[in-house]
Amino acid sequence: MEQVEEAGKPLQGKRVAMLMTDGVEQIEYTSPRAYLEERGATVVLLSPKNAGEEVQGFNHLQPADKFKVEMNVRDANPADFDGLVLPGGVANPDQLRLSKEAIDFIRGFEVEEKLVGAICHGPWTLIDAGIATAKHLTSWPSLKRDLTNAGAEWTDEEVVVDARLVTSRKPADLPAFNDALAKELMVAEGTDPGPTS
Amino acid sequence: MQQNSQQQGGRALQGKRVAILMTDGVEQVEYTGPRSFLEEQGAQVTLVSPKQSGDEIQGFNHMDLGDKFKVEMNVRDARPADFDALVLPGGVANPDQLRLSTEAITFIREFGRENKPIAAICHGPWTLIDADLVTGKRVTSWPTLQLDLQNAGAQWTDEQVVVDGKLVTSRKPDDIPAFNQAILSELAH
Repeated sequence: MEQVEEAGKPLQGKRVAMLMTDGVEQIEYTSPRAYLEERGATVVLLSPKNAGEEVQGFNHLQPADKFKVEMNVRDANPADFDGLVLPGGVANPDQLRLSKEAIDFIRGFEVEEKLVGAICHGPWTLIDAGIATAKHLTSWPSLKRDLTNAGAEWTDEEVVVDARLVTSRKPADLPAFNDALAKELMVAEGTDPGPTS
Repeated sequence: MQQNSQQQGGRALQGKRVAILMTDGVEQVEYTGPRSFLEEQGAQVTLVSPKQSGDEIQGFNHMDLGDKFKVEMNVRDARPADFDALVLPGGVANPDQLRLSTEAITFIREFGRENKPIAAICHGPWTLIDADLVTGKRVTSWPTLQLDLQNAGAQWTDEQVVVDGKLVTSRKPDDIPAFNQAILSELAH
């Protein structure tokens, strides 16, 4: 963590996709985005909606802010990103599950062994993408049974890192989640996280 | 069965008691549709929730806030023995919260144990996984739950209403007429 601050922009040149649609728990979008951008990463809001359209954010069950889509997921290629972040908000992944383009995009990160971060209800789509099987992960507790049935090992921790998969349970876990995302992104480049880098 | 209900002037469910279990985020037409249908047929319907009796439940029309509905009984005070059937409406945030209520899941499971009709629509069937009621059963649901229901051992099909034993499932608000008729058939037996 200290190294992150000392380096200032340790994620300069890193490109991170955030995939979401209406119903997103907005703090799970705004917080990782701000954290990654502060450290130099470029973040792109992807959605099954078209670029320029708006995604309706929620604070729990209350409709909140709207966020402009920056790229339709069907125009996005995992090869152009260093990592993927999946926010929660139960209605958001519920709709992503019906988008073949969204699920294929998520699967592409596993295939390329790149960072996938998912928080709260975000891990739900990992089932459809075939990423949950045999993985150690966490999520909002309502998904425990489905993730377990899909072959995951589910534990109740603020952040779980297994290979390139980073998962957390809820908005209160965001500090630990964000920190784990940044660390994984630096590892992706082969950067030694120590002070000599 | 349909003939019967017509002969009885639409009071085929006189004396039947039906619990509708739900909480905030319910797709409201999946509550109001079955409730008014069952009441027209003479059934007595009770809104049961993990919330307290007298508290309100926030209904939704898809992503938009809808009406509020007053809870009539806290689920921990409800006994499956006092009801003839259970209805589980959808709205994804609703069963998502019910899954975390031990009392709600136990209540659902008891209906299965007592072999009483359970009718679930849209995202309603999600809690059936937690209640261990879908293994080996033919079901349908909102299509997002297909994989989770299959992983739990269900046989998922895309039909407006699926009846397997005492389990009635439908996919979405458009299916409500067929869903209601299937509940009527199960209860009028």
